[in-house]
Amino acid sequence: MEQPFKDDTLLGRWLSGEISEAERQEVEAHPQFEKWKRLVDATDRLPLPAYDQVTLWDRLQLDKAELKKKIGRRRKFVRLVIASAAATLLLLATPFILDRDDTFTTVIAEKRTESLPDGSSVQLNALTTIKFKEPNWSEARSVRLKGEAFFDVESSAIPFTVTTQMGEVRVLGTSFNVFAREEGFRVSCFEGQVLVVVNSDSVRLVQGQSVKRIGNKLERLAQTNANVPEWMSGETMFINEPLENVWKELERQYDVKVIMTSNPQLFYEGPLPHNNLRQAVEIICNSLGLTPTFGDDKTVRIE
Amino acid sequence: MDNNVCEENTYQEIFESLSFSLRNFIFFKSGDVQQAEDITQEAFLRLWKACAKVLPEKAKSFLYTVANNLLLDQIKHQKVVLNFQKVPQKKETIEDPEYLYQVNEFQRILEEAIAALPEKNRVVFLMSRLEKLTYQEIAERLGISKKAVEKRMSKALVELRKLTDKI
Repeated sequence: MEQPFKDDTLLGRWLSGEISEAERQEVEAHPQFEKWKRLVDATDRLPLPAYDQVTLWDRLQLDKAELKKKIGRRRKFVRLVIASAAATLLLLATPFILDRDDTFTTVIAEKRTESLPDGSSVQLNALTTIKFKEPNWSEARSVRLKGEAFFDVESSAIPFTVTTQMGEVRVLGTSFNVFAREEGFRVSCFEGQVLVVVNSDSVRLVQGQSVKRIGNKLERLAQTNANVPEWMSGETMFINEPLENVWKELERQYDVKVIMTSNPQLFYEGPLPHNNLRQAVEIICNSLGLTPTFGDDKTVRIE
Repeated sequence: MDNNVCEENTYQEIFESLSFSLRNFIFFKSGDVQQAEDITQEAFLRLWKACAKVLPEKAKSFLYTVANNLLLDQIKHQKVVLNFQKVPQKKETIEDPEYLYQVNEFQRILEEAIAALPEKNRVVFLMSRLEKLTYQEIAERLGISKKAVEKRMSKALVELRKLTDKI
């Protein structure tokens, strides 16, 4: 899209008034100026839909009360169990309780946001597991990941480490995405800096950079300027991905099984939307000249 | 510790200062008021559940992230239609009907154009123009830089002009 001004923040700053006199004159001399002004004035007059804060607060109070009841019931049950088998169970269970992992898990087609003990947040893509030990958190912020997740890590002197079967990511405070599945290992940095370690190879990433594991080495990928990984906005983008990997992602986003009747070496470049199975399959098949057949037993046959 | 999200007063303060904004944020994205209010309610409930783990100063970004995620889960590729209420007309001034028609027509076209903006630009534009949030506040809530807000504002306006070019 062509820009009216070289400085692509200029119009934005004109709107907020953070602009020099010379810049203001430049904007006002532009042939579109009157139209912009009219649009902004008309937008400013649009009324927001009515909002009833009191009602929403009351509804929230009901939800919270409901929550309390549930927790209350659970506590009672726990007390009962402990009372009935106190001595032996307690002795056996103590080390187990202290050493227990906290776990977040998503199933097929599920995405979820969770917060970690220090307020860092993690968003899990479908079919992903994250484990960590809350009691150790003040000494080592360390999580184990299987699947794909986006981390937004709070700054702290304590390093934050994501360990996977295929490599490790270390940071102090930043946001990044880790893909660690059987198809491979990829890390993208969206803010700050991260250090990616695979065996003896390590790569430092800054904002916009990505890296992929190939064999025992790390290889840099093309720069992006997104703020979050595409999967969080409801689709996965593939660049020259072997078709079988694309189907694996499809099977994670929808509860289906893909059956290929032949096994051509094809590569797919394009999106995989997460909200419409038929559309997703058709986009992929159309671009590669394949024909899908949708079975009623949650299968898709590809010819 | 009284400055804790689990503390009823702190929680209520957060609700009162942010719930309207959060509702608007989702409304700007999806165009569905009912959905926006349901998501706001659910996001605040999740804040309550996680209150021991979320510091009050982190509540804002927690709420925006959770609400955004809830919306992503719900969106079924619905077409965005922003249903603003009709601008109330002043009763005492008897307007020229032709002029009134043009004003309403302009608003309709503007609404359609806003709905057709790329979501990122639309949300920033409306947060600034309708909610009167500063660029700094918008940047914090969306987790982007202030410069990115300035760019999105510029783009939104340039695109709006193109989309409404016929008038």
